Amino acid sequence: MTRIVAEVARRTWQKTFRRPVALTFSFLQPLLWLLLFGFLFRRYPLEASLAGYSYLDFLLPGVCGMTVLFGASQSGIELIRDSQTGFLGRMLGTPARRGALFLGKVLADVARLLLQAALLFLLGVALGARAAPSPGSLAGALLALALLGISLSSLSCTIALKAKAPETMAAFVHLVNWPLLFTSTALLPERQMPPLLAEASRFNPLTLDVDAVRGAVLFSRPASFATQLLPLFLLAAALFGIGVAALSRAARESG
Amino acid sequence: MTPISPVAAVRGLSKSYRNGVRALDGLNLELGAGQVTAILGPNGSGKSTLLRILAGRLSPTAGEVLLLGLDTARAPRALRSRVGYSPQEGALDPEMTGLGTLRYFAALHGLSRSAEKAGIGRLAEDLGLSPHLWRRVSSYSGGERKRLQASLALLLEPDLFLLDEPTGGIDPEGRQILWRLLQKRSSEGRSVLIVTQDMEEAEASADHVVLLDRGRLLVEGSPRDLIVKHGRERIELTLAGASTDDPRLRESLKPLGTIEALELRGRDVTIQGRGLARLSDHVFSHLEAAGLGVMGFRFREPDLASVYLRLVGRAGASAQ
Repeated sequence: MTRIVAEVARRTWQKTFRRPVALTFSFLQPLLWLLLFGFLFRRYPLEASLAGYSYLDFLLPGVCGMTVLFGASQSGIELIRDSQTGFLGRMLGTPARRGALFLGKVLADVARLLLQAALLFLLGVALGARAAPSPGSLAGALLALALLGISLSSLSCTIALKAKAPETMAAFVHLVNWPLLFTSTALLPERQMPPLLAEASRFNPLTLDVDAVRGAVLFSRPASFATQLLPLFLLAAALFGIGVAALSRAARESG
Repeated sequence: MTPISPVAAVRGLSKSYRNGVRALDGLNLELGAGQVTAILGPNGSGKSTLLRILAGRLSPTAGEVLLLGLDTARAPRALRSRVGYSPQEGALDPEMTGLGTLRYFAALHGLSRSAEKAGIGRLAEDLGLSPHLWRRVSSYSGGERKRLQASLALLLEPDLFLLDEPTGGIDPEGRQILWRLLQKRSSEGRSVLIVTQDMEEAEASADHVVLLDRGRLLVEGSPRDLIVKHGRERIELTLAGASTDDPRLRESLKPLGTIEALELRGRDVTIQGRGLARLSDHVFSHLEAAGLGVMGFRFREPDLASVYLRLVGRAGASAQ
């Protein structure tokens, strides 16, 4: 099983790095948000609990979460290509467990997104954002990012397996990304959001994720297991399971 | 050759697609283990659908399928490790290299690294892929892609090979090699089910032939038995000037009552019937007398193509 996961992950990485334009775009998009929003709102006064921090300091963890959000939501596009060439059907005709195939794909994408987020974080620090995470809090933040990545990548793959059309994927990406982003604390603290959005943000997985990263980066505060990591884990497990089931269904329809 | 133990048993198999097309219509079939079975039939006869159902890629509308003694609906995973299916269409990733593709599927099939290395080296050599293994599949010719597909099926050494037109696009030498490799697997006790449009290959290399039409079984048996029972002599000729829709053509052949089938395409005419050998001169003279010049003329002994032409009764057989 390990070999199958590794092979699928290796192929996913190879294919990603053979598309430098898509890879660059997926890295540049959050970077542009960091540069444009970071400097546009640099004098934006943050609420009292964040006194002493600049908007750039506040935004950097949000953009790390955004990197994972934007990237993971496009995970399924590769499956659509594989479905169109018949390669997916050939893969599903092997005795390899569907869970291993799905895990290899999702892990490869999530690992790549974590690297992108880490690189963006270093760039943000180089641009002047403050960050003082402890090793323990940083590990919790990475775990939170990984769990969000698994959730969204699994969801994206499920949609791709169902839709089998790039246009549907494009619609899904927009439908998921923007509402999740603007109802989260990635761009604004909850207390400074309109009441309705603030309420919605509490149920938003991106909020859980960004808050965990922000707590670690700004305050060396480890992610909360009960209120941040556990809900993210449950969401990731549920969406991963749904994804594996969708892959099994696709196997029966791949003729 | 009489099947000893069935590798595939199909009972009342039907498949209707959502667009209303009935690809298989209550098919019953029992195929023996350890032999090469060629599945023949015109386009739309249900050959590929049958293979996809056997491979577990498609669910039948009705009926049951036993493969290697296992119910395909109940033991799909066990069968996936014992059945190697090669679809008609590429099902390859154009961005991967040939070697990468072979290694990838070897891993997914759980082949050990040593078996993988030895198998890839041997097959690449046999099928002439060695110089192309490092190239991306996107740069492969149609024949090279087919060779890669065949290598994938052979590398995994399944108990049952399901191959959908594996020789299409491969040059004659490559075809011969592939058939030889399949026959070798069969002599080792493995079973091969191969969909093909090539009558000559099927006649020369298959142990058993299944002829389908409109989702039903027309006949099955060894090529020799089928030819003896259903084969007819043929005359293939090319008209010099007139085309096959010239009314004089049918008129001039009418007096030769033994003609059972007449296939017309452009200027090419195929006449099939009993005792044509002794009628050859008459055919020629009748056409000449009707003012239809003949450019090419060829007499053929009964063969599998004549079985196909006679039973299917449609255009296409002699062109394969």
